[in-house]
Amino acid sequence: MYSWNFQVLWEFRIVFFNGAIITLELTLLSMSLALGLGLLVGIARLAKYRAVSGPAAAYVEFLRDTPLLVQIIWVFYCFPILTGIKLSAFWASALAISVHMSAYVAEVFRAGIASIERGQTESAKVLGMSYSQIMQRIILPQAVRRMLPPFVNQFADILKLTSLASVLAVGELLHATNNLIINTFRPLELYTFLALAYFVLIYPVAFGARRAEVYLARRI
Amino acid sequence: MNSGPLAVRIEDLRKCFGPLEVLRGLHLEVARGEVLCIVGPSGSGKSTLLRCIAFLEEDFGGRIYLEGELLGFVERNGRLQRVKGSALRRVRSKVGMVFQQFNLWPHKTVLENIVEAPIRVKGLSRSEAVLGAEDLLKKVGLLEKRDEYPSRLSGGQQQRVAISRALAMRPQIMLFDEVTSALDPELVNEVLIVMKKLAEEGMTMLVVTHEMGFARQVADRVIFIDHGVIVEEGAPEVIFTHPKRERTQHFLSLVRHEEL
Ligand SMILES: Nc1ncnc2c1ncn2[C@@H]1O[C@H](COP(=O)(O)OP(=O)(O)O)[C@@H](O)[C@H]1O
Ligand SMILES: [Mg+2]
Repeated sequence: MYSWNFQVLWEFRIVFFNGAIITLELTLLSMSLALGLGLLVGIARLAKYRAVSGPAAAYVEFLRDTPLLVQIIWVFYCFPILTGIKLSAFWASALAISVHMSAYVAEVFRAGIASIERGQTESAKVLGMSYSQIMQRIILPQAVRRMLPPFVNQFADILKLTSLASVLAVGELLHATNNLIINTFRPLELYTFLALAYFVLIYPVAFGARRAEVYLARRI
Repeated sequence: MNSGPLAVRIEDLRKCFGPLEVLRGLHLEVARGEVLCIVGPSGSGKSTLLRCIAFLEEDFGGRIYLEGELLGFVERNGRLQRVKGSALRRVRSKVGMVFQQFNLWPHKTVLENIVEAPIRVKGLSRSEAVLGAEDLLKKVGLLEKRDEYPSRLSGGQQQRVAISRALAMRPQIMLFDEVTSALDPELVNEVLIVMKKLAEEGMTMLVVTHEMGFARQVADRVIFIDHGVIVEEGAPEVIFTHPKRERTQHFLSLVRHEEL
C-alpha cells in the first residue's frame, strides 16, 4: 500500500505558486497576441480580394493542421537560425501559442463579423462612414458580444496548452512539477495536485463562460 | 420646381448579377424637389435601382449624376475612372436612404444612432449634433424616446428614427425602399405622414412603394418598372386610372386585388 505524503505539497508550495504565475503570464500574453493577430487575419479572410483572403485562409488552415508542440519546437530551434532572432524559451512558447491560437481566434472573428446582417453595414455606408469606422463603431461592437463565449473557451484552451511549453523547460506549472518530482520522488502527490491546480485555474473561467452565454442568450 | 441641375440623372443604367440582367438600360431624370414613386412587380429591379443610386451596388454600367456630379467615377479624356474614399463619399453624401428593415444599430440608442454619422463623418461637435438630432426627433414625434434602444420601439417608431438618421446628414435626395412593407398595417400611416411632410418641405424623393394611396396623394410622377426597364410613366392619376400598357394594367389589378 502506497503511503501518501502530502507534506511535500505544503513544503514546496512556493514552487507551485511560481509555476502558476508563469502559466498565467504565458496565457495572458498569448491570449492578447492571439486576439490582435486573429482580428487581422479574420478581417483579411472576409476581404473581397482573393489576394488578401487566400493567404489568410491558408494561414488558418496550415496552423490548424499542424500540432502546437511541433510549432513550439520549430519556433525555438528553427526560427532563430532562419531569422537570426534569438528567442528565450518563454518568448518562443508565447509566440508559437499566439500564432497557433490566432488561427482559431480568426475563425471566431470571421464568423462573428459575418453574422452581422448586411443592412447594418449598408446603412452606415450610405451615411458616408468609412470601412474602418464601420468596423470599429458598428460591426465589431455587435460581433464581440456574440464572440464572448467562444473567446472565453479559447482562453481556457490556451491555459491548458501552456503546459506544452515545458518541453522547452519554461518554468510553468508542469515543468515546475517535473523538477520537483526529480528531487522529491513524489509523482503521485505532485501530479495529482498539478491536475487540481489546473482545474482551480480554469474552472472559474469555464463557469464564467457558461454564465456569460446564458446572460447573452437572454439579452439578444 | 427650382432651376439648376437635375437632382438625379441616370443614363443607360445596366446591372447584372451573374447571368441575370436586372437593370437593362434604364434612363431617368428627377428634378429638384420632385417626388417620384417607383412601382413594379417584385424582382423587377426597383431595389437594385435605388441601391445603385446609393452606390451600394458598385459594378453597374451607365452613368448616374447626382446634382450634376457623376457618381463613383471621374471622366478623364472621355474615359471613366473609379473614385474611392472621400471623393466617392462626397458625391454619395447627397443621398440618404431608408430601408425596408430599418437597419438601425441595435447597440446604440436612438440619439446615438442619429448623431453617429454627423460626428464621425461631418466632424460636428457632439453638442451641435445632439441639438440637430433633437430637432429631427421632435419633428417625427419621438423626442421622448431619445435614450431608448431600438429594440424597445415599435416598427413604425424605428422607421421614423431611421428617417431622422438619414436626414441628419442633410442629404439633398432621399431614397425610400418599401419602407412601410415590414410594418403592421396600423403603423404604416405614422411613417407615411412623416414622408408626406418631407415632400411638402421640398425634398427630392425617390420612393419605391406599394402604397398606392400615398403615391396618388404625394407623387409628382409615377414610374412603372418591369424586368429592369421603365415600362410606363406619368402623373399618378394618369398611371393609376388610365394605364396605357397592358403590363401596367395587369400589375395594378393585382395590387388592387391585394388591397381588398
Ligand atoms: N445580390 C444579389 N445577387 C443576386 N441576385 C440579386 C441580388 N440582388 C437582387 N438580385 C436579383 O435581382 C432581381 C431584382 O431584385 P430587386 O432589385 O431586389 O427587385 P425588387 O426590389 O423590384 O423586388 C431579383 O431577381 C433578385 O433576385
Ligand atoms: Mg425590393
